[in-house]
Amino acid sequence: MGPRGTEQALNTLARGGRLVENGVVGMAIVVFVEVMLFAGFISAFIIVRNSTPPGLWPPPDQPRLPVATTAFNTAMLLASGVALFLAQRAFGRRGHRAAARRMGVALLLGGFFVVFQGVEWVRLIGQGLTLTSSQLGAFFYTIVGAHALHATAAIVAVGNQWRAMREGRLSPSAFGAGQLFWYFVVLMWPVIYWQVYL
Amino acid sequence: MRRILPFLLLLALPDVAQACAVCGAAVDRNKSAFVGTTILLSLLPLAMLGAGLWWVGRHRNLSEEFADREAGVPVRGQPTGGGKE
Repeated sequence: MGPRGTEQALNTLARGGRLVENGVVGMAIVVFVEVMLFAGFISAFIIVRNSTPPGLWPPPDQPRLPVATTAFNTAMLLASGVALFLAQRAFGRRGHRAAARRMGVALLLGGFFVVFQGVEWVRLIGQGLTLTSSQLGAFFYTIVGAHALHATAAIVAVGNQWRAMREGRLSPSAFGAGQLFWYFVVLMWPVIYWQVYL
Repeated sequence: MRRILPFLLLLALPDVAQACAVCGAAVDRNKSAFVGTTILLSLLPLAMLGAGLWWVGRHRNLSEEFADREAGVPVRGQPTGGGKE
């Protein structure tokens, strides 16, 4: 939280409000659990990768993962996080219409990320990388699929909030919870990209 | 003595007995992966909890300072605005 966010929190406290909204606390607990889920997935992946003899990872008979195009897609997802951050700032300074516009940009970028992933998956399945073709395939679809599922859930949730924001009836508690989940999806992805793709 | 002898012989072979069969992986890279991921999975929840507690503590302190300032109580380290020093 930046100085302005701190100032807002202190003003809220001074008015007898809560330091953290209930929705944000609930979402923080969810995110805590989800981070541990992905940490478990990635730990298992690292151990399996390091247990193979040198030169046999990734499996020679399996297609290579699209590193460059996914880097571009990663940039899109990070940009969506920035757009949602700007929406939060606009929410406090310029009103709900400006915030809704930035939320719309975040949603478009997040939607692009998920669709782009789907296109990549179709290509990889066509090249022979499936859930049962190798350990790489099993881990790839489990980890990346779990993330895509979370990204889709985040898009649905923030999409609903975007509608509420446009009508000026979005509560700060709900907005904070949605933001927290979106930031989790955005910040988890570079870790997955680093460990699974590189 | 006959009863103790097998245990003494076991003590002479400490490398054979592993507390955890999986942790005794033959590949060094795998061993270090086990150590690294164990550290990650142990410290990550503590780090997240610690970060949350730190954030709450920091804002509680700031809120106390804010409340003092609102009430006109001099804040430590800041000028009192004309009061007798």
